[in-house]
Amino acid sequence: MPPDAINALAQYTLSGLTTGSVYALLALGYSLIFNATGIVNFTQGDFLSLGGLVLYSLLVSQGLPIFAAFPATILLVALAGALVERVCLRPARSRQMIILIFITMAASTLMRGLMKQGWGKLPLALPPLSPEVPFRLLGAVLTPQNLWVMGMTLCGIAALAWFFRATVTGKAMRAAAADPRTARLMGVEVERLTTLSFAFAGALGALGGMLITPITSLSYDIGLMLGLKGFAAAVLGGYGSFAGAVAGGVLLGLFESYGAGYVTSAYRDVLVFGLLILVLFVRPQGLFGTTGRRA
Amino acid sequence: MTLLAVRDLSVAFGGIRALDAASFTARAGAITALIGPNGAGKTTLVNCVTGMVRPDSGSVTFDGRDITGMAAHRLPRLGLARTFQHLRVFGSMSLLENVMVGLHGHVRTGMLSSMLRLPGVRRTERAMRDAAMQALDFAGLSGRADEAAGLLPYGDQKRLVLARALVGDPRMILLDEPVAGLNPAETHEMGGLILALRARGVAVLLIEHDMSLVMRVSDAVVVLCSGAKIAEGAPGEVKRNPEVVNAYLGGGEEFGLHA
Amino acid sequence: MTVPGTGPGTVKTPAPASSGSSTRHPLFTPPARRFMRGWLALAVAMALLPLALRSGYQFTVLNVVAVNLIVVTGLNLLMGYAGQISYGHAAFFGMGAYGSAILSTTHGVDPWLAMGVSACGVAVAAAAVGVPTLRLKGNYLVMATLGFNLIVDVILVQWSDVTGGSSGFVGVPPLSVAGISFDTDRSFYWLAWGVALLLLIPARNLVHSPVGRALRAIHDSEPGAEACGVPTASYKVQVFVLSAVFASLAGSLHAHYLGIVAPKTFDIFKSVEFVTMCLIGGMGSLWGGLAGALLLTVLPQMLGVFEEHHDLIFGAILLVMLIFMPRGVSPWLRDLLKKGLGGGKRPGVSRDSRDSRDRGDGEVRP
Repeated sequence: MPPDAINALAQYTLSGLTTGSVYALLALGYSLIFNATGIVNFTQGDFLSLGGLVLYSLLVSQGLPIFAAFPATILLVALAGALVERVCLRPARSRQMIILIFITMAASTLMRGLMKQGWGKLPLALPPLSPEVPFRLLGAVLTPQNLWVMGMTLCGIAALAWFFRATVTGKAMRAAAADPRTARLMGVEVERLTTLSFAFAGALGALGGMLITPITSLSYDIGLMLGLKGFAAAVLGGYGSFAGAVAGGVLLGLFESYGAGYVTSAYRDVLVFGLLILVLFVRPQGLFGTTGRRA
Repeated sequence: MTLLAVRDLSVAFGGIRALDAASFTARAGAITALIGPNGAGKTTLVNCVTGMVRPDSGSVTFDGRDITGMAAHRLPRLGLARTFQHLRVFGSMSLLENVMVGLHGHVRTGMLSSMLRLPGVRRTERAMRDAAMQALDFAGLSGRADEAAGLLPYGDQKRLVLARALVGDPRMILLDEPVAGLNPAETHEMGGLILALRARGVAVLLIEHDMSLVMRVSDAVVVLCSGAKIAEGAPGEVKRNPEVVNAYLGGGEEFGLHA
Repeated sequence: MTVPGTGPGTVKTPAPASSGSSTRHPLFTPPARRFMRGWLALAVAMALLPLALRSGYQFTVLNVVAVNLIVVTGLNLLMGYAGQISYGHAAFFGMGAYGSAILSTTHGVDPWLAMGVSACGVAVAAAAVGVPTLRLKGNYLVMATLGFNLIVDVILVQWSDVTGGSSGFVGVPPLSVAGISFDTDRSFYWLAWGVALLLLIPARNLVHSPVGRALRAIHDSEPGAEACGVPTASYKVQVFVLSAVFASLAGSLHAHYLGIVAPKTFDIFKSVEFVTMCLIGGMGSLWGGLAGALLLTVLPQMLGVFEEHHDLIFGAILLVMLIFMPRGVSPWLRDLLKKGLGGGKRPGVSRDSRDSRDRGDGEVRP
């Protein structure tokens, strides 16, 4: 391969892994909530926007140092996630799936409205986590933020995996996801865990938002398309499966990046969602899902 | 006369053999019970017969016709109806409507002709309603035809699905655990209904755990264990079959104690 | 056709009250008759309404209501009756609109013919999408239909040589009949409401037919319906195609009315809006669809005053309604109407039992 081609390949791979990481975080959020409630939560992308916006306020407006602003943002957006569950879904009079999904859509619209109110319509500039000194790796231009995205995503996934395997609450959540009735009989407070799942989904969204918005841009509706692609990644990997969510996110990010780079940039979304639909047709349970029965 | 014949049916799910060359026959106009310990493959067998699962090998013949792997919705028209263990009541619809849906395999109607309300639709509706009322009457539910099925007590729902299966005047009804979850009085009543089905000339394939019911109503009993048939015969014979007793004791289940 | 069970010898006891049973079973035909009364009332009201309208703007809003009503009527058959979710109907709406626009403008096809050809094309596309998609359930169906809409949306924007790109496609000729052109707000009012009212009738017929009942059975329990002899896979695809054709016809009307089509009108938000109309009006009620189309067309117009706060107010209203009125406004309107007319309560399946389907297959885990 000529050096230019190698450079291009490396560049596409790098940017694919970067966005793929964010898709993976979002997909994990979707899967968490699916396992707790059985629905798609359309506010997932808004958690991402909110994460970026809150970090912006804490860093730029409040002048907080990054090591304080970062966890504070995660906490605040996690709180917002819990609120979505408590205020919007808990009091719902219907248990019909289509109504509950739509409630999250309405909540998403409301969140966008609130964010537009709070932060305005114009794009904001969120500074990267560390000074931007681009360097080259295998011919690809790398910024520290790329590394931050991938590194922090790995940390987030590791923390989540540890939580589910090692803590009592994590194990209870897995039990409740597998069989809520039995879990409840065994004394697991399924309702409280559902709220917790939303909080986690919020935290994951916030993490994604804080990492990616310095690269893309930051505005109240940045999470819309990213959220849909995260949803696609979750479906691709197998809805409800954590390993599937991560793999689906990374694969979708790479596919999108290669597709945009090598095939067509204008139709990149067609490629992404076309692939998704194709996968659904051939393998409805997703790449790593065991069954699409209940989803 | 043999109505249903299952021959050498085998199904495996990812290496686990659910059915291993299972064979049995059921006579027309008779009640044939299919029993076996949990995990014996009863559910898989039912799903194969009713077109929900395609067997890896073997065949199912109904009324001299090969129905192996046939789509489930085509069976009622051939005279094979079924109920579900998990009822599958149409909860938002009235009892009458539930039973009318049971006739769907028998009406010739398409989406387009329904939209244009071609002549005959109304007549069909009336005939369907009359037939449904009679089936409800059989199940002792005709007085509640307009009530919402989803709000009906469990025992009544069990009889409703029986009416829904019966309404198409099938030659055989496959009853999947018709008395599971019923109290003794309701169980006894259901037993009477099953016998009444036979009196109408409808054959019954009964999948049931309640041995006293099986012993009371069956003409023939087929015992399934680990995906294969281990015994077949009259209820009295099967009950004394050492292999059957062993299978049940081995499975930790009581057998024939209250028979 | 035959209805077994009615033959001699199959039934031991005759049904106790088969005569005079139309009073005992109000589920049978009277709703259809009641619908026709409502339909006539609506037709008369819409025919008289222009006398009270003053501005062309009021006509514009009502014309949009009519176009939306057509989409919602079809979507209601799919979602409210057959219980299948689609977040992709704006794509069919758009394909109808662009099909009509491109055929009649670029290729000089007669607008009516363009409308018909587009509808046929959409039917084929819907079948192609529906056959594999409708095997999917719940979240997967949501994703597949959303994905389809996103794809169509991108194509409408990017394929600019044919579609005019993001700025839209202009110069679409109006529809006309016998020299009368429906090119003004007032004249189009008659066409739009004529078509919308006309299309309610086949929808009503379908709902009150054995097929309509089978569709509701699919909603409640798919295996149960299948075991009753309902070809569930085929019915789901058919009703999907039908609803897509309704959307396509509405899209064509939209294109010939405005003379301009732009991709933004057909993005996923439009799909969500259509679904919202169904939900807010009340799924499984054709009148509910009317209420939903009316409410969600007029309300945003009124909120247009608060352009900046649109999402905020709209989201909040929608949220509160979905949480506290999950069955939409139509049961509430029905009670109001009943009280107003002083009519006694009819026996029959109470609408409250609708949510009993929550115990069924679509159960959401607690």
